[in-house]
Amino acid sequence: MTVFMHSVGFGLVTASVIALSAVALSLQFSVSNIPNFAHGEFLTLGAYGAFMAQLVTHNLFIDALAGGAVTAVIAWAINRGVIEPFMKRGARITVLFVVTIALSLMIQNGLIIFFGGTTQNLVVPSYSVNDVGPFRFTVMDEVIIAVAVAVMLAVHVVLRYTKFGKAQRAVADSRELAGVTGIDTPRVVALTWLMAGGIAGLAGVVIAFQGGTFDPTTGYTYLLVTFAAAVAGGIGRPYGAMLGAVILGLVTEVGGAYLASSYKVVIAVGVLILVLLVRPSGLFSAPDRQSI
Amino acid sequence: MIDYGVSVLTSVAIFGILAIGLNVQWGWAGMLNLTYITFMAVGAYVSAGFTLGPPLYAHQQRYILSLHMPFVVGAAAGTIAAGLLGLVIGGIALRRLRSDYFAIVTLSLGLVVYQIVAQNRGLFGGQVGLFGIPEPGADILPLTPEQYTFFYLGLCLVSLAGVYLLARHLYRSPFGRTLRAIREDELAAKAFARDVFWFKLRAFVLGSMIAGFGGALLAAFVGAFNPAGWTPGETFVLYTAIFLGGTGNNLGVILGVLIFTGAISEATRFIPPIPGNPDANQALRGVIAGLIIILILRFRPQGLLPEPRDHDAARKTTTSSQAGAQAAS
Repeated sequence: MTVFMHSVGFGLVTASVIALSAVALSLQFSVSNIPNFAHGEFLTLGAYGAFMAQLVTHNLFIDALAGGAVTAVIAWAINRGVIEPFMKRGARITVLFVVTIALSLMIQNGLIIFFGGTTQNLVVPSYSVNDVGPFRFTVMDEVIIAVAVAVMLAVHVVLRYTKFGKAQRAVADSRELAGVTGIDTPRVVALTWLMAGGIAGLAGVVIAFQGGTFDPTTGYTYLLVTFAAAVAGGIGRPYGAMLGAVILGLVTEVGGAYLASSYKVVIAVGVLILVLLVRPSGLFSAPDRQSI
Repeated sequence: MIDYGVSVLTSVAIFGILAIGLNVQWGWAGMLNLTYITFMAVGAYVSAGFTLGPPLYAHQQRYILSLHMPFVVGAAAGTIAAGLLGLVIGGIALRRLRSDYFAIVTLSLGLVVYQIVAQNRGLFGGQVGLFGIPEPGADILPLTPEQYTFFYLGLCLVSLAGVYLLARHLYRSPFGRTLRAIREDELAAKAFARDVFWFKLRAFVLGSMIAGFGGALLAAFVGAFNPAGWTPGETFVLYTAIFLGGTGNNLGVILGVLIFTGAISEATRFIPPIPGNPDANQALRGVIAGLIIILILRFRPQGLLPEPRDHDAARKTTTSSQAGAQAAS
């Protein structure tokens, strides 16, 4: 029972990390309509951003902000420099997907050239462990859960209560209609890449903070589980992605506690495949609203 | 120097075979299979298992099959095994999924296969993999090791020619035409009463079998095979060659392999290594691959050798010489 409850605890932490990543993916996908294969690299870039910031300061809060900011700017630049020119030519979604695969290759291997392929260490304090109810968390675990909850709330507030969020939802529904009503759609899309990049970068930062180490493929290993969470929640629905993340976090950690941990990713892709085949519009969608 | 040239040409021939198989799936039918390399690996493992003798206790190797059969039997078994896996994965992934989800599902299923093979030592040696894979015919041919490398190059070139001729024949057949119709407009193909799923599944299995055959040749060429040899990145190398050479054009993708695998990738091996960063040269190949894909798609989506369209229809349209471009835009 202790093993089970502890793995549920790990599941909540993993769910928080996945939630950050999946909300970013879902947000960017819903507004830009591009399935981003380089999303994993956004996580990795966040970790490297924090790593670079540690050259200046070991204040983890500032390092985390730097990681998020660096990734946000890179995501914005990728949209501006690579994605937009293809969009203007009216490229098919498949082509844009291939372009993001190429970007993923370039970023991952570019990081290897500049930083080496080896594991990097961050300067993080050794976290104290404390029992919260039946769970066992480190201080960083608790911070991660808090950060995830705060970011989810912030995304909710932006989407629901700001003019920008309203524009985002309009563009997500129909880019043409949004454009007709006078919304500056390229600007909304560009800012969404910025926002999603920032959240994804933050996800990478907390992954690096949790373990203290990362390497050029760290984010890529989260790509499929992120897709799984986003798809389970109904891709393009940031709120669904949060729920999907909780499911994926619990299923992989609890399953991984009893199977070999290398099968965690197999469990995640199992969920992904099942959802896509059985209920492609997501687990929580009304059956009549097909998003595929 | 000659040894080196022979070795590069042999791998170009093998990768040419692999690229043709992927071209059937992606270039002809528009199926973005992100785990193509898995089918190559299955062909390699099964073929090696058929040709290897029983594991030596001293090597602490473990694997199944160990039938000590001739290479011809092994290659056939590898080809069939890859085709069967293609039937399973294609059968799952081709069900009512749009193209990007199809790609994600292939990647996911490939990862499952990868974990199963890598984590089970008793299957194909786990992380250690297989080694000491016999050279085809080396025991019966009276050749010196140096002469043998030429023989094997010849074998691979003949195989490449055979696969190319098969692909050319199929490309011009009603089967190939229907696949291209599906690629251009799936709904229109359906309206002409074509069973899209069935055509795509057959193309997927055909491509998988070609991959398995190429894998059998690769395993026998290298003599060893393990999970490091078929990471997802290897699939992107083949895509780079296809985009570069000309999506859909069978001759074009061979040209793409010659340029990317044979020239560009090889050239990076001669760049002096960065001290303390042994992975940099290989990473540079990845960066170049990504750059080529983006630049080609942006400025010349039809690739260096555009897909010919002439024998498709008598009436020519203005875009007829850029069929590959349509697939990629």
